[in-house]
Amino acid sequence: MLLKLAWRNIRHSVRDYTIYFLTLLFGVAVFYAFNSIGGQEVMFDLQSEADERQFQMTEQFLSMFSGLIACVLGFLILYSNGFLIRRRKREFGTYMLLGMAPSRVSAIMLIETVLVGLISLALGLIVGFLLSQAMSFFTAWLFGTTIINYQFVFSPEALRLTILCFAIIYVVVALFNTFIVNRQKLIDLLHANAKNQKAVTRNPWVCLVAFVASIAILAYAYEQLIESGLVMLDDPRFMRATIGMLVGTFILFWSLAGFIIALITRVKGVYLRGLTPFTVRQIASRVNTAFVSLWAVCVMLFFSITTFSVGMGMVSVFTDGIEEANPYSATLTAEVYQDDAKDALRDSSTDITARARGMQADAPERYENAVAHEWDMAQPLRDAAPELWEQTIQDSAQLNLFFLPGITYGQLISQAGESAEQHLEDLGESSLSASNVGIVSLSDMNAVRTLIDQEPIALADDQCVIANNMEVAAPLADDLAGSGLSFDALGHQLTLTDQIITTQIEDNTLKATALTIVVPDAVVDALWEAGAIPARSLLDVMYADNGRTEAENDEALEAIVAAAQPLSLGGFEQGFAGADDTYAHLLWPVTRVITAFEMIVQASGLKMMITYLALYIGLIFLLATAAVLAVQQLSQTADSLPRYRMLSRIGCSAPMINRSLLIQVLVYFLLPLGVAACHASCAISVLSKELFDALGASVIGPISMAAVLVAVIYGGYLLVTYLTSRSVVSSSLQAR
Amino acid sequence: MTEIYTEPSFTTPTVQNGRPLALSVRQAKKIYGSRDSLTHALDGVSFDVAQGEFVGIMGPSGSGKTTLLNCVSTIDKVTSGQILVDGQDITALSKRALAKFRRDELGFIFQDFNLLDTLNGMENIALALTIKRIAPSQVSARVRNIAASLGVADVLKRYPNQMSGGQKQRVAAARAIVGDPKLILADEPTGALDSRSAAVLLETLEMMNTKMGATIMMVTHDSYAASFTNRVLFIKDGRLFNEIRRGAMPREEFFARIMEVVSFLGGDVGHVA
Repeated sequence: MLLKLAWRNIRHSVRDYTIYFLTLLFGVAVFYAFNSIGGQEVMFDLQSEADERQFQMTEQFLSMFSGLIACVLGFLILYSNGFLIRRRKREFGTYMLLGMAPSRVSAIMLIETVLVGLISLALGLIVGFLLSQAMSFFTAWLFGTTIINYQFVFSPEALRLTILCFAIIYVVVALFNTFIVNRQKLIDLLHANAKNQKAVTRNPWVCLVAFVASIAILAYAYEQLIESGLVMLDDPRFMRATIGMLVGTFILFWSLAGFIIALITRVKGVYLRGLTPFTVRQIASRVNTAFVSLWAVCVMLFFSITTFSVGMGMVSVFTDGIEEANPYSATLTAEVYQDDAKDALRDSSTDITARARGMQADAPERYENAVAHEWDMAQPLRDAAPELWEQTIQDSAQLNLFFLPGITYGQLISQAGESAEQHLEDLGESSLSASNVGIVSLSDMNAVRTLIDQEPIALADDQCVIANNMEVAAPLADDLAGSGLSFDALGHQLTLTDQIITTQIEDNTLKATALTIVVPDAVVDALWEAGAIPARSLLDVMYADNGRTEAENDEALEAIVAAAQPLSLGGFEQGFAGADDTYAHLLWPVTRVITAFEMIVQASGLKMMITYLALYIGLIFLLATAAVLAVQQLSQTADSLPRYRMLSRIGCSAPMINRSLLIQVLVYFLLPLGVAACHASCAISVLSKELFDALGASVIGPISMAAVLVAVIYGGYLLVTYLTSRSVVSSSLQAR
Repeated sequence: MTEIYTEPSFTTPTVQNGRPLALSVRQAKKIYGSRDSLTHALDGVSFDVAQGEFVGIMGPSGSGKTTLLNCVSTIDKVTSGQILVDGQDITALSKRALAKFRRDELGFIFQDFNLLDTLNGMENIALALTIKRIAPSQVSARVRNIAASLGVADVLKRYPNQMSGGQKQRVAAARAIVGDPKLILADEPTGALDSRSAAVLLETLEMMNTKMGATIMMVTHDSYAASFTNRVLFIKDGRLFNEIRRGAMPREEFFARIMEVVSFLGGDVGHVA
């Protein structure tokens, strides 16, 4: 009997259930889709181990976020359910008046919840399943693989997790409903419909002051944010900006309605026209009573938009130009020990032999080894595994980076003028100024250029040229190259030409050639003679076309390095941890190895992880906020039905009422979105200036993607909300 | 609910006693129910209301007076018969035309005030004008005028929940008349008021009728309220049962006449379920 009653109830209030049902369905679908990433078909096409490692990392991250998302969804479902209950209090009151025990009423409600839950779970799983297939293609596209033996794959793990999670949510909802029904007094249930909402009005002058204050607070927050540059999250300015934004937005929503009302009512020509007074008051009373949830929605939207745009932007930072940044098959690096700082990028000592003496004292075997091979990295490697080397390596070139003692970047920059000094400051690298200038010999530079088919450069004996392709240092490089400055390098007077060499001298995550000066060989020869050793030696290699895959060549290279420096061999106890632990403490000839293949795989893994996270978080938060707004708007429409009936009675036409409804829904949806978009554009523009521009990435693409995402999901909810309220209102008008 | 439809078959006069008719109800029938159990809510009611008249409709509960009011106010439709307002047959109008008709030709006063609780007095009255797309510059002046005449000028800035019942009902009356309707329909306007506020309201309606020339049709169960009108129609079981005119009678005497008819009807009139 109860089951029949429950089923009939659902069919009866199908319209009330629409939003609840849609929310459940989307929730289940998205939850399943993202949790099933591990089981996706495309997994099997990605055979490399590195890829799989990325996959697992992504999965771990996603399941971590799933917990958070489950909480958000749970809250959402409870919220929508609360709306349903409120709508049907009178119905429950009637049951109880007829003598039905509260426990039976709760049972009906429970059965309804379970029925709707089961249907939405089943449908949601189907949609989620299709969605996960779509994501398979998406993943394949991200990885640049095509799915050859594609077939539908079902992830039991994701299914189990989804069912478990939603079962818990349904249990909570059922408990909540039982509690609500049992707690209510019969009289309140019966009179629930008649109860009038109290119209909240605020003093317009207080509102005006609060409104101005909120704008001021927001302006301050924006300013702090722009100043902080969003570089460090523990920056007090960032904290102030965050708190300012939260407080400012809160006060804004609190005061907005009162302020706008005061403003609009004073403009008579606009105000007393059609249903404007009614519409404005409806919105104002809504905003006045629901300003807390509007605020929460706005913050969530901000978070959602920013996460999505920045996440997608990060993807391009990490992955765009990854091929450009890795022109060689592999780069083997020897970071040569230095006493005062374990830093191969900065050196401020004036003692030419300091580095050599430090290495000799701390790691005599390695030092002897290097001297014996005249610091030629390729030689010991080739000797250790001649056959493998022959098979694997087609060509190699070594580039030694030195510091020029006594000539610092600070000296050059002060010669170059004020603009250069300003750019140095913008760079925020205070230690650069005191560091000696990094140099490389012309023949080394030309050797690596030849390796990647670039023309050799020519320099006169009294010329030098700056090499830089790092975006962040580009303005400084321009200043230096344009200044025509000259300096004395160990007795050679050198003048900087106005050219900039943009050769990438090593494989790296980014374009990493930074303010290095290419000098005539004579200068470097003089350094060698004076007893200097390189701060960093790079051995760029190109693999032979031997029919093996990149991964196999990487393994061969690893074997060569392992043969040259076995673990049993003593080495540096101090030093750099390389990309691969195998070589970490064996510092010459190889401190670390970076291969182009590995970098590209890593980048695409990162791309996948960030993309998924950004999509996942953006999607769920967007869904959650849109659903909250939809439910609120619908419940207001339901509460306002007597008003619409009255309007219709005194002769308002249906199109007029519908227009008013549309405006209400639009404003209610677009108000928090607008504020959130303002905040997000501020945050994103700061990030874009400080981070993305510096790294040479554009945020236009991600922002348009975010806009499309928002338009589709948010717009969809908006449309459904409008259509539902319209049909609720018109059916209520017809009932008369 | 099924409706049984029969063709109207007579012509209608448009003038009464030399005065043009504001309302003319001809053989109005309203039948509810299925073939097995028919309820004749209105069973062939005919009457006229001339322009500038103040007519009361009385009858026991279930007599069909509310159905009649609903049909005249175009919220409900008659099964057969004609209803003409200002010579226009409203039973033949489309839904959209009906909304326009209500907006332009009718004014409403309800028992439960039916003011919008989110709007203040000014805006509530103005609503009747703004939905007619009257120029905003005129709206404010017209509202103030009417409010002054009806003695609610001082509550224009207040919201309904800050007004007394009498003030609310007078604001509703102001809303009903501000648009210059052909006909004002009042449904038990004193039903939710205490006797003092009721008297003030009735005097206001009388004033609207005499000074402003408003045509008013008021449904009521209260003989005292009915005694303020020019003419009272009694309805019983869906038919017109009796009609008394006030003529030059003082109000007290008219009240006594009404009471006679009411007690003749079975004393039932005063009890509304």
